[in-house]
Amino acid sequence: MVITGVGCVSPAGIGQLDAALALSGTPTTNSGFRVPEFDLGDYLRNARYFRRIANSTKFALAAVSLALGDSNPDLGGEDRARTGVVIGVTHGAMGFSTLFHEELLKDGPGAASPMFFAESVLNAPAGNVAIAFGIRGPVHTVIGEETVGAQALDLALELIRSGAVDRCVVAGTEEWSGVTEGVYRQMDRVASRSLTQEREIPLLGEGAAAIVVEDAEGASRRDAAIRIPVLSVRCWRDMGESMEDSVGRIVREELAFRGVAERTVSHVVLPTGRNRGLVTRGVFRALGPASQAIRRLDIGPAAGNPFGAAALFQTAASVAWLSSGETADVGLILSSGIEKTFSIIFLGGGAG
Amino acid sequence: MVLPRQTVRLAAKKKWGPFEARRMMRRRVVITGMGIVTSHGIGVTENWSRILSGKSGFRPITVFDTAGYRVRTAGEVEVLPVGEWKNIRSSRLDRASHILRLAVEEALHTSGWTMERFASAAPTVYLGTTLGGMGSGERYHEEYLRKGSAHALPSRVFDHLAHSQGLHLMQEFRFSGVPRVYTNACASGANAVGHAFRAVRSGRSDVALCGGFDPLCEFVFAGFHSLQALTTDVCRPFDRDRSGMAIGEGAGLLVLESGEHAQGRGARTLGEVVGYGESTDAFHMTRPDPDGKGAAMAMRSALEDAEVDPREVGYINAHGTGTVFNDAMESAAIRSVMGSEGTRVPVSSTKSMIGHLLGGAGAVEAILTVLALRDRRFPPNVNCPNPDPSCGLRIVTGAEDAPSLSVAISNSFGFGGSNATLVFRREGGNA
Repeated sequence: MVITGVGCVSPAGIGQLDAALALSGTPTTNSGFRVPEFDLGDYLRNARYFRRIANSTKFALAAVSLALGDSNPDLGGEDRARTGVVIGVTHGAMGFSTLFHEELLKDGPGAASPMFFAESVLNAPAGNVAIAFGIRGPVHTVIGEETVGAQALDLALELIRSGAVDRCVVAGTEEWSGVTEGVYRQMDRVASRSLTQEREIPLLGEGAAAIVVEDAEGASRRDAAIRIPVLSVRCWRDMGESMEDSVGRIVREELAFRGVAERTVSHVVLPTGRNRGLVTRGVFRALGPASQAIRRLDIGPAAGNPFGAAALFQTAASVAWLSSGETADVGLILSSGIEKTFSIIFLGGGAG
Repeated sequence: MVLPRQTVRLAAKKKWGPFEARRMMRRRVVITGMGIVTSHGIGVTENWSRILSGKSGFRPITVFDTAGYRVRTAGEVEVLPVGEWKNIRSSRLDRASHILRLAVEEALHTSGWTMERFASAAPTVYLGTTLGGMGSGERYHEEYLRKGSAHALPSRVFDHLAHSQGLHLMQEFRFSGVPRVYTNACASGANAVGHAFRAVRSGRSDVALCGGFDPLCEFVFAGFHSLQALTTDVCRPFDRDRSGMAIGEGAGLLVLESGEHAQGRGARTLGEVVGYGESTDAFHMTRPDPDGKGAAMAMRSALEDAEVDPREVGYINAHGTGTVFNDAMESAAIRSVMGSEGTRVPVSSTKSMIGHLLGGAGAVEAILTVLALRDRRFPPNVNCPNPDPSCGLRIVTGAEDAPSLSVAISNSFGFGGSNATLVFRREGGNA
């Protein structure tokens, strides 16, 4: 499986590999980690149809458009049914949800806008992506903690491997909301400033990232530019073992199973969520002496903690990093959440 | 027998011969456990008996104040026991978690697993829901607006997130792993069952716990009310005078296992999942494609996947929401896929009795379809004295015997144009 396209809509920039690279670069001066205002029409030909949409949908549409533009697959005729979409979310369209509920509480059921409700449904970004690009294959939304992007990628790989589709657009999207940020602040689950240490949890971020994943042979047949191979995805929460131990065990198992030497791991993208210190320590302990030379990429200072979009932002940053080098190295993308779920995406290792 | 197109493509790619392809892709997937919670009660037996008798599960709503609504009834679960939670403080849990837990406990009980043994079997857990514990989100937001953020209970926000109920379940029963939670609106439950079926069939997993759930809450009710999708009459799927849907709540959970695994532990099998298909309309966020092309694509793909000829299908548990648009679209899709059988195959929508369970609908209706196959009885589509001639379907208006029924399908469609179809075979039917 390979990644053939990348698109990012983040506080650090909007674009393809350039914007993905910026995620692990300079910290964003905008301390609220908000995506700058943009015109969807710059990224989508039929943008007029999508005038009344939530930010989470708007971000997803732009990111998917950029990723498809980078990958350039044929989406005509039968290919529409041979393409899938999987989007990961955590909070959904909180802005529209709270507006709908506020109208309901203040002025009663007659005043609540159906438009706000339709966009509050968690699969609104995925449904609108399908409409915008005419995709008629399986279109799914999965919900979870910061690890949900990895779960979305895992589902996409399953769909391709099972033969259900030839390629899949995988995205994560999240929008900032005052209510959500207030909750996390109240529960002391975000840092009060931009983070400088692994144990600090970044502020709530927003945006969307998308990648196009397909079978390597199919990508070669259509002469697509292969960005990087996807080795595997593991999502886990252990009810018996400590988080640090189980993440270490999984890294060792997976590298051994894939025949990947620890020294070929060039970088690790740090988690943005709760338990990031534990997960990071577990991974570096598992990598042993090789860990000294491994670069740590952190999207937190540039993008905050974008929850549902986190793992895809991290993946995009890793793809950009691996694409900028000349060696076929391996990158590990770590995610973790409040409920002690964690995920590891293994990227690279050849053909890059 | 013709191999499904996707199997042929994969076999060609992997250079498999036809026998290897079949062996690799075709593990038998059996249902060994089922659990249901609906307004008809808690438990498969109680639900099935009431469904067959055509009783209505609609009653006045008590979970929120219905003042200001044109509609004041729903398929609300009358008595919802909270149960004893050992590893989580139950007082902080949303109604959604309690509904889910009850269905899981029944599914595991009927499958003959103890919680401990099931946890050690490392099951795949796939769930579907529309908005999870939205009721808790409403309560938080109301407190937030009335008293300010400092006085609102933030844990409610975590309970409202639609993946929390799955995580609570895993924590309570000490299941390791991360549940995959599909939120494809009203197709979510069917998607969860369909993907669990694929996981077991392909050998990625020997055992899966799958299904869907959604509790009744004001946010969702008000949403469908604002879309003017709720009927002020009774829910009349496929009737000439249908005027909208009715909301319900509940959960449906199934335990799927490979045939070999179930046989190895001496489990009783209740039915077989043989096919799954899915597609997307790419038409409109809340309206279905009137031609029913997307729905037909999902049905065709499921039948192809199951290697079942449309003429073998003896019953269709329809999505049948009772809205003018859905039922017309679904009828067109059924006629298109079933060909000359389209007007003869028995069809019913059980939503006419328990309402639309949203994320729970696909899984509950999958279970009712399995029960129809087991007992060879068609569940009725009540409130349909005048089947709409423009739908052109053979609607089962009262429970009927089905002496030769061996294959049945269940349709689920949702917002965002999600379409999913599951195909089931009667246990002991021709494989």
